[in-house]
Amino acid sequence: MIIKRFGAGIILAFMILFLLSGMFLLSFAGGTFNMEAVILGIIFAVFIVAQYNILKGIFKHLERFALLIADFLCIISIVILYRINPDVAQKQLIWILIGNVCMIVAMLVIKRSHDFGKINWIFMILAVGMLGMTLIFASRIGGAKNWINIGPFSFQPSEFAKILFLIVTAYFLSSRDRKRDMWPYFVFTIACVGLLVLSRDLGAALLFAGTFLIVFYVGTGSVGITLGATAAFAGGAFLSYKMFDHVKTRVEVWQDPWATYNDKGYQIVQGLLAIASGGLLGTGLGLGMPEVIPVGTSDYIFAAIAEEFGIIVAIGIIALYLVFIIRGILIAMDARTKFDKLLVFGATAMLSLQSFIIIGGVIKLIPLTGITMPFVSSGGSSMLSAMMQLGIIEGVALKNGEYEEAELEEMGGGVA
Amino acid sequence: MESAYEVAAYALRYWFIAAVLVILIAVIYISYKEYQQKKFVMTEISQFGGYMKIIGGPREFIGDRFGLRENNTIGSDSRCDIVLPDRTVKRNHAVIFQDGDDYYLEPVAKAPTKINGRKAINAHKLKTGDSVSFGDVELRIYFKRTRIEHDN
Repeated sequence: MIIKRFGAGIILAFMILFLLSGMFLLSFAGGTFNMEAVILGIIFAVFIVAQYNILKGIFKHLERFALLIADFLCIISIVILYRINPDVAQKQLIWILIGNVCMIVAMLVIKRSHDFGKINWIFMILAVGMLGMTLIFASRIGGAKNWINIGPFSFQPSEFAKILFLIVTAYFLSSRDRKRDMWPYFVFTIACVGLLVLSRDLGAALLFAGTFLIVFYVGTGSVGITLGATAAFAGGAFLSYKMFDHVKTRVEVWQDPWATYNDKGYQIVQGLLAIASGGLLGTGLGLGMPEVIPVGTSDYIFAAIAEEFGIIVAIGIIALYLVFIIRGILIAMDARTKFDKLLVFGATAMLSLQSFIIIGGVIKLIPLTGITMPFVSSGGSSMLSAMMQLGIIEGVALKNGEYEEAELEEMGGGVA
Repeated sequence: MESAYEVAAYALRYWFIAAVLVILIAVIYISYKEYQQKKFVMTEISQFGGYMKIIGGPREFIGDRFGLRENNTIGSDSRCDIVLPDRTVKRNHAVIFQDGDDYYLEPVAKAPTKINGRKAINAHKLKTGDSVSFGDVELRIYFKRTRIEHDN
């Protein structure tokens, strides 16, 4: 009657070997030995080992597999970013460290909280305020107005609005029995998506709308409203296709990027060429040309990985995202309250949708919308929000583990 | 130097692919095994409403636990649900059964049974922490406070 935890040391060992061999190889790039790469690799390796073991020691019921997968995605991110641009990799390392602090904070907050009650109204105002502020003050990068500059820092408020959106979603869907009592939540969703569309952040708008549809259907099981909302969002998408020029461009470029190769289709074509030149096994780390892809360090990092490491590794990364999603859904199924279930499910759905949207965009499966790849793309805001979503998943996993242990102890068992 | 790097990078492709595949397979295998085991233990436990622990009698039995289901026959016969192989225990000694939320103990054919030191003849309601003896074997009974609730 004892649940035994299986050792995951072999996974950690291979992750560290991957990181160290990659950084050691990169330190010889360019003909001279570069100590910086090795130092960066060793610092990150020590950090990963310490983080995993300390968290495992403090929190007995830690969801270790989701944490390890996130760590491995960060490792791949550091290696490929160092390959493309060492300065970006150093910044990314700092963001990963800050992200881990955020993860632990989110984990502890979620573990102690019930459902945030009335604070959700403040969250709603805060989220709409942040998105509205973006619309007014933001500077324009790559067609979308989603960056706010404060002194030397620039951040993306929509990334933090995501977390608030998840909490508000879980609160309203779990605490209201009748659907007509959920109207503040519907207004909130429409406001968020509308503001994102107006600030031309189509990737984030798609993400919010998609998460709303998935979590709403899972939370209420109402086919009618879900189909109606899907139709409304499809209509909205069609309308924005007609109204906004840059949406139209995105779709045209998706249909035939070669027609505008020198201009708007350049990014997609370069991404496809990178994936093709990598082939099944890749060109070898440092031997490809990922630096020619525009935005190769953030949105298009998947193409860079596919070029240098090969399609097999790229598919492996997609499979790791899938395992992450399955772990998240298992935790959601184990959760004891409806709020916890929907919160974890929402975080998982959002991460999976986000990785699907960007990977699908890069391989030209769906029209490209600028959005980051969770845990892999460079960029502070996206790393912090992905880490907070991981923290939400971990926090509910800790709650589940404590309930399970209490049940086992009543029967004279335990968790080893 | 340049060409040496190329050779090394070219060769290390295979190592990177192997490492990613090992990590992927290990994550899937280990997490699946752990989930399977957890599920097994939790379903096993959810069948039981409580358990009995031997606290007195032959020394080699002390500390043994038996889970309680809806109907439990107790005796020294190997066909019983809970087997107490002791000379003072009858072949069919007693029955513990659930009725509503409560558990009851009923001795079969006036077999020597005590609840908290008092002799039991008819069906008696059991509380958590009660000590029960069949012949010379003494057990303590614990019931779950919470029932495991599955997906609602």
